[in-house]
Amino acid sequence: MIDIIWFILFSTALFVTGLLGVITQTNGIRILISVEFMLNAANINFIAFNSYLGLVDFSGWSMALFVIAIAAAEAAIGLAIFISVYRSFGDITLGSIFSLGEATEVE
Amino acid sequence: MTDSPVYEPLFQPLFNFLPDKMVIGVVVAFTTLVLGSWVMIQQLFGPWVERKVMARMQGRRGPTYVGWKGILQIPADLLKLVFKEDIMPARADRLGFFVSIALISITSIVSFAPLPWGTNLMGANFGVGILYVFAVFSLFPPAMFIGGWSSNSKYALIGGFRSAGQLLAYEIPMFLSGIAIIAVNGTFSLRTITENQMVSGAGWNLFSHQLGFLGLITGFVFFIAGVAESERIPFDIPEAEAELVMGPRTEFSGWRYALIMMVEYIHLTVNSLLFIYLFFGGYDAIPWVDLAFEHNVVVQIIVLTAKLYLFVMIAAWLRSALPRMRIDQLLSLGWKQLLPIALIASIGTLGFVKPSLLGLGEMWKWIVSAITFVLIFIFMYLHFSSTRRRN
Amino acid sequence: MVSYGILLAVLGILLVFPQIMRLFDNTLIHIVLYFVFSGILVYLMGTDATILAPLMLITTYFAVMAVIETRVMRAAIFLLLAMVTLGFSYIFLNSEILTALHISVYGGGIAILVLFAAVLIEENSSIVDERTQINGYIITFALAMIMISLVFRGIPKSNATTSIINIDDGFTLIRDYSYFLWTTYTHVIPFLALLILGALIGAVRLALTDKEVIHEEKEVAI
Repeated sequence: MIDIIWFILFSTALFVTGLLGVITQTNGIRILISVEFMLNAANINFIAFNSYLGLVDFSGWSMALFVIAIAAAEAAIGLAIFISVYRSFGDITLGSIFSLGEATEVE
Repeated sequence: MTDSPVYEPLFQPLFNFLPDKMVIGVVVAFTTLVLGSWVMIQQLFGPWVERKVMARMQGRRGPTYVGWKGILQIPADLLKLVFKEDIMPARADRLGFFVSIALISITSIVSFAPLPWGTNLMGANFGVGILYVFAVFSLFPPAMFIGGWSSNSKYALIGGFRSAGQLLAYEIPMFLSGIAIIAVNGTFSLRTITENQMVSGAGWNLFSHQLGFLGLITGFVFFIAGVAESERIPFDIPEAEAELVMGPRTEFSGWRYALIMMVEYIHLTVNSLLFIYLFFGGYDAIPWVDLAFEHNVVVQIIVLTAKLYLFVMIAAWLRSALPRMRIDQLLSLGWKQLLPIALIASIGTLGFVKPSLLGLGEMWKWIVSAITFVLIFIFMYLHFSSTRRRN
Repeated sequence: MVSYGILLAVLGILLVFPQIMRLFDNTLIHIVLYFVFSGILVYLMGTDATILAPLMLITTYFAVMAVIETRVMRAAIFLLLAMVTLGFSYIFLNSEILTALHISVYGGGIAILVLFAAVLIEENSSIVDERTQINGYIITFALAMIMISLVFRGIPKSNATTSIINIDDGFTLIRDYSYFLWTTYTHVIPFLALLILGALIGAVRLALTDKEVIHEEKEVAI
């Protein structure tokens, strides 16, 4: 059987990939995409431990289900916020929204 | 194993000189080959049936030239398309162009896995057979959208938006109707649902008294949603041949176009097969009786193929008779009419779950069925009497 | 118990593979490299992981490409692909139910949300300066090694249990699971429903805000 350490390694690789995205990116949507990867990494860990400890009360699946639902809700609301911010400021680059302030001028 | 393929005894001698896992791999590969070839052969003759039927309904003859009565028309088309030049627009996104085609083809073919062609002849007996098919169906909208966007053309983008919207809208009534039948039969496996319809005294789910005749409404909703999911006329506004050329698939040429044509008929095949398994008896030959010859694998394959071609003919009939719906009419049909009807019919059907739900006696089940019918009629009357004042 | 060196080697291959793939442009070389690296991974992980190792490799490839691509739409496409392959790798953990759920929600829900948003927001490329990127890579590798070291010391000898699923019984499993969710987690599900309802209402309210649209000439015609 496949040793559990490989699934943990897999989730570590995905987690640090998401973290790399969050650190280096400035575009809001790309940060959201990276956050999705981090949530998925946690999901894999929950389901792996659920399977390898033989939990018949499905605790791992429940956590994974809640994480999926929360990630979906967060993505929806985050993207709606980004669209609204884009309409007000004309820019979605996260480092420069505060400096545009309330002006409606375009550069 | 009870769910081993019928021909597994053929591979018995291999156990002597190969490790166990490898023999299982060989059996799986052989099953994939057999079923995959059968499916691909349907894709070669399905469009021929449709073109002949459509032609006769329009007073002409259809393909007659290539082969006997034009039966080799589709292989000839395929051969021609494969050798054509593969043109990509100059500023199209190469990744999206490839990924949309790859994703649609792979997910369409992969969705054939839990569909049984005989009692023991299926790709894989998952625990979650039909949920897997539904999950794969939910991958079509993003793939269409990516294809439309990456073509770098205004009309392809419009087609992509419309296609994604339509496919998203009709998934929900389809899944709800499917879930009603799944709950009544208590299993996700399509083979078990078919076997339940083969039992003597139980008619097919479409007109079975064991569902209180609610199968009529549920099946009707599932059929309309299935036609919309395959983007057939009257629901083909994303394609809209006379207006948008091919919608999100305008810019694909050569072998990509051949793949798209194949995927269109695979969608029709899978949706028809799902309707057949859930509502029309699967590979059962005669509805209310259970004869000995119905359990023969060859008879089952022939019966299933015949039913599949019946639905291809019905699709061709719809195509030659009905006009195309506008995108707002289409989306309003999906969200405002089919969804409430699917909800009411599914909840009503749940009253017929086999270990009786809430301890409902026989008479109360029929009362539930009657109440459901009445509610649906009331809903349709209210809805149509209010929309007649508009447009 | 797997040795530390093999763990680091596998982690290194998983994270370095996308960078190597980016150096080449030819698709044939890509396919050959994929098979070569899958072979190396299968050799390191043991032949039980013959199908899992290529799946892990391709998922990590899509994930890394999603975070270092410069165009938003391409990142969204890679997100979709990574979610699909990730969903298929749940089958190896005896949870086919979560495969279907994951592909439905992430592939059919979140991916198309991100795709629509990426089309409506026309900020097409984001420039990342070199110093931030190099810092990011250093932090990434360091954190990966630290996490693996922590886990490596923490896990006892693991013995994988057999499947908890009877293969014909997906419906009973979901029924028991739903019964479990509604009785044990009774206090969580209504809050989750309220959260999602709030997200829905908030998203609709935000999208219908009638603020002044600045880029009038670049509106997307639907």
